[in-house]
Amino acid sequence: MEHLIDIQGLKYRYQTAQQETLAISEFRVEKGESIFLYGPSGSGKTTLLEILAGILKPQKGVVKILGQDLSAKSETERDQFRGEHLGYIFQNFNLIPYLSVRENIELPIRLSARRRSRIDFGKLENIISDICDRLGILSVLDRRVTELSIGQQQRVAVARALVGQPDLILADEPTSSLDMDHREKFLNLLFDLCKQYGASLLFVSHDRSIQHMFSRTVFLSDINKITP
Amino acid sequence: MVFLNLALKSLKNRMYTSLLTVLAIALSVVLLLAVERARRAAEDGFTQTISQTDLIVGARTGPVELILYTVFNIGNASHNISYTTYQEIKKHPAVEWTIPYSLGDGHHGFRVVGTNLDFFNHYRFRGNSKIELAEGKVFSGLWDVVVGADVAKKLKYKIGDKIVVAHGVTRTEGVHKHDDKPFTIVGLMAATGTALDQSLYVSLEAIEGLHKEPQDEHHGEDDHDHNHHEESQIKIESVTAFFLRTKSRIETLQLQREINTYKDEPLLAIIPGVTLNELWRSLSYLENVLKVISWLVVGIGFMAMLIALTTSLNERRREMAILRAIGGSTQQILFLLIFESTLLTLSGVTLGILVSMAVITVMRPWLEVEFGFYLVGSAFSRSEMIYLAFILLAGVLVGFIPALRAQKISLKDGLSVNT
Repeated sequence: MEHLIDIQGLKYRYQTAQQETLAISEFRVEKGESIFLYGPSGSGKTTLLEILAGILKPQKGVVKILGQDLSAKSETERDQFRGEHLGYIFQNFNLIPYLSVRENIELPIRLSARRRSRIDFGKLENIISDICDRLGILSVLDRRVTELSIGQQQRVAVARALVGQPDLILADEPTSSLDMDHREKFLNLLFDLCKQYGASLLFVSHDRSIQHMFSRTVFLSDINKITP
Repeated sequence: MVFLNLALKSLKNRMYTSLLTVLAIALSVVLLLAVERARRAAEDGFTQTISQTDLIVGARTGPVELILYTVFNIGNASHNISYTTYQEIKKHPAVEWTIPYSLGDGHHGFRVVGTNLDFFNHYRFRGNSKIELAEGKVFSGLWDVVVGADVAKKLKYKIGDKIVVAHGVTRTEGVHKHDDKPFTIVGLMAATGTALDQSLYVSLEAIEGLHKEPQDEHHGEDDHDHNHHEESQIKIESVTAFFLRTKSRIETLQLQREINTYKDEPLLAIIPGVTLNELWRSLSYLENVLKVISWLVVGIGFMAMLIALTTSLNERRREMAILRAIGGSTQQILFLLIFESTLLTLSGVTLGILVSMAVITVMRPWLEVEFGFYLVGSAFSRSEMIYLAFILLAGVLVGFIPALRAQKISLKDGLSVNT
């Protein structure tokens, strides 16, 4: 069976660094899973996400997503792959400040022709309305993102990651600025939406209080065997 | 479409620096166009100072000297031509008209020129422009004087004023003045933008008469008696030079040869257009200096754009990272940045063109009246079009520098720019 993520013998070292940041001999994620990837700050969580997103290229090893080997692809091919299959949610949501909420959400569709081909482009309006309705941000669609509250910005970031029905959502500590109450509400909504849109979720965080909500928890220190 | 939207909104978000960049480019375009325009106007103004005159004839001297003291009021003739010779050449069958031109006297640093009515009838400059009178009429009596526009303006002369002329063109008091022979201003010439504006015009007889000793019937400057019998007594002996038009251009060269080999006295006939072009070419270093300066300004305009784009890159690292993370390729980011710099250059050039057109429209009458600076010819010459195209191209190329840097940055930073 084809795995969603299949990492074999991965090694990554930053150019200026003395030793490797990541050395993962094996790591697999299946379709439909929601993974909580735990690691303290500076343990290489974001590096792993960037490798999975095809932005960084490992020096060694095989990184397969949906059966396609990212490490064998050119930069352009990785860009295309990311545009087509992945959704990324940042720690600080990272919305484009000078665009409206709607424009931010549409951006992945407009930037990637392949992402566009995954949806009925004529119904983009409806698709966005549906997602935003679920996220409770329908009323702010035409506002500037800078006018929104933190909670609203976060949900815009989720909508942006989900539009075009990606196979995998990579989330980099998007809940770190929320209080406990909002955190759980937000995660429940995220799980619901991932299920509805058929996306798997890889969620990295150093906050273990939410790990019980995920289908599986992975400690980065368990899979990352750096030999000093 | 997505790029236009992104680029426009991103630029709008950085309104202040974007505007400054556009302004810097616009200013350099304005300057380049202005210098180019001024250069062309100067060249045209120079070579068109006199037109339709086929030959200028004077005593034998250098061609440049001849054109300087006839057309530009610079320097003096060492010899005159006898009036008989002038009359003889005037009667030549190839000659259509002539304008006699006698120099010698000065008035507060301006030159007094003796001529006749042919001057007002035939003299042409800048194509087909003829001498117009702003006020009054042309001279008819011996003591009548018509003054050029600059003279009238500088010395605040009006019709009816009495003036006195002196020998030479210096302003010092020591020069012998013809205080006993007051002239009356009968006409004020309209500005021509040529050296014509800086002279006073009297009849040939007046110039000749000035050099004769006062007769008994003259009693100083209170004598307003412009009696005509006096005029007939004066016999014109010489003229300094004369302008000549042939009946057909083909005869010009033949006539020039004939005059240059005139048996009775040594003469020189020059074709003014040829000599003016030679003179202008000898001034071409000035033109090159202007060109170099304006290109330096354009270079600085692009430096400003480069600086503005590069500094804004730092603020925009996060933007780049986001675009990459949500599926934008490095090529798309490269394209976006080049698109932005192209947009900035295009707006700058457009603004520059509009401003220079507006400035020219507004300033044209003032330049013509105040400086005799005529912006002739089409608004945009071929060379200006080429310059503008070059600026656009350079703008796009300059955009590559920050764009390529951005690509490096976005790879190095990955998605980790979190601030």
